[in-house]
Amino acid sequence: MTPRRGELAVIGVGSTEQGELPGRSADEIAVDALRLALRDCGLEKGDLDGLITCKSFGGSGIDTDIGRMAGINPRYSATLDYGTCNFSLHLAAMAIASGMATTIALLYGTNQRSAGNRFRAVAGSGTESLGLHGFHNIAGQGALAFARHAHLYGTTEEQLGWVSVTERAHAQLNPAAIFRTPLTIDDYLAEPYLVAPLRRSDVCMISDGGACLIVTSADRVASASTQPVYLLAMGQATGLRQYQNPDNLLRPWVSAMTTIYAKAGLSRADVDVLFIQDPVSVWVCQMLELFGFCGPGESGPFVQEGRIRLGGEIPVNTNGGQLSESYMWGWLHLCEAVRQLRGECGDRQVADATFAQYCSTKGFEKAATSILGSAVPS
Amino acid sequence: MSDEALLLAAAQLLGASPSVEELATPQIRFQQCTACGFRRYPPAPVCPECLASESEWMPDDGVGAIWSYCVYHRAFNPAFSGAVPYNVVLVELDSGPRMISNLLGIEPSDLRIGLRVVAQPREIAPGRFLVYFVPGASSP
Repeated sequence: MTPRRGELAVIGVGSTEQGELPGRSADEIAVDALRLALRDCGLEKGDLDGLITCKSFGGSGIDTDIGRMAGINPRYSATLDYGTCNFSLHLAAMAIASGMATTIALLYGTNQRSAGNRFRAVAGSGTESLGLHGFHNIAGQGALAFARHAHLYGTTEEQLGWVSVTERAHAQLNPAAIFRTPLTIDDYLAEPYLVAPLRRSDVCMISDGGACLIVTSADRVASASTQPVYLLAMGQATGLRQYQNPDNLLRPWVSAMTTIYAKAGLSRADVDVLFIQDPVSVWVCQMLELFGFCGPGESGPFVQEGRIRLGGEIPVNTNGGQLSESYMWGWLHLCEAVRQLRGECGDRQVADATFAQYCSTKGFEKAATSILGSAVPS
Repeated sequence: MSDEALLLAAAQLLGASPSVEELATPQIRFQQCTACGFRRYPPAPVCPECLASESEWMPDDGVGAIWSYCVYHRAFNPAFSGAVPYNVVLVELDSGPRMISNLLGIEPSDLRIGLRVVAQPREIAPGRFLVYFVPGASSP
């Protein structure tokens, strides 16, 4: 059963304070976000007949625990073992299209900063020898991927630096962002290497926070007090073979998702604002190329020339991204996409934003993308 | 980078690890599928090509090239604090497998993508061998 274009709409968004929220459990933070999203759209929790939660650091975020805490008996509930919100949104679309539910809350909460996750995890899986070789933190995979890109196309560290510098400039216009101090390209280049060729600003900081979106079928949007934002198309791809795929750190299999523009009834040039999940700056370059916003190998000059800035050709991560706003597995990107399409973003509002795209990845194994619109193309 | 510091860090972490057959011999070897001949890496109970389970451990010549490299300036795991800065490389072996490892016996400024390398298992604990690489294999 294929959900029709615009059959589902996001009607509510909620995001908590980000950063350090000591003394709060991940599930409490998630329920905080739920309360904010319900308030946003004027619904009561009893209006929800679906709940899709996101398992978070330490094993929190299970639907049965969150449902008990929130005091709800939705008809349908599920937990996804990975974040980025795209996967949750797609599951909700399928649940609504198949009649399992009509109005679903998608939510995520984490206290991983306060709980002491310090990003020591081994970079990848499949063999314990990764850790024995000191291959820790996602910066390792990002550094390998960028060094390869630089080798193939001559991309420079300064060009990469413009991703972090641009996102910081956007974050300065976002009162909810954690990192709002100015960052110039000279500041960036003066930073010591973290995992060369990457520097501190190329990698996000572990943070606490919560986010929630409430989605419903298009025929029910009148029940909400907000302007509906429609899901126009969705796509997923995987590289589950991981290192058995050639060039897997460059995620070549993501480009299969460029069919999303036709599914949405748009061309790529119609996308007004783009969101790219960015635990590492390098992912922004990868997705710009894989979705065709620039040619293969051209992302370095593309970001350096300011084309992803507010006011540029295709503004990217107007919230500041995970690099500067908060590390929320991409959930805040989808919240920001909805707010941009509602026209609620103040100083960082993209003028006349009608269509937004969100691209996200789960490690080097899965990827997803969604296109949202304040209008539904015929 | 001190190569010895890297080996010590691995030995320190190995203490908490279960014994794996991957580390049991002083030569590089892979599971080779008895049915289709595919060389598995990482080790797996099932062949990712033909789904057969039987395999035997076969020696490999361990020759390949650097696909990419990076240099850790921070020890995310404290065991590596004496080893920074140290490199991590992704090696594509001529026989197929792609392995994350460290390249020993090289200055960071001499690291190059495409550099020909050869496996050099090192004994990091009694009877436990970890596959490192060194520069110098000739082109295929």
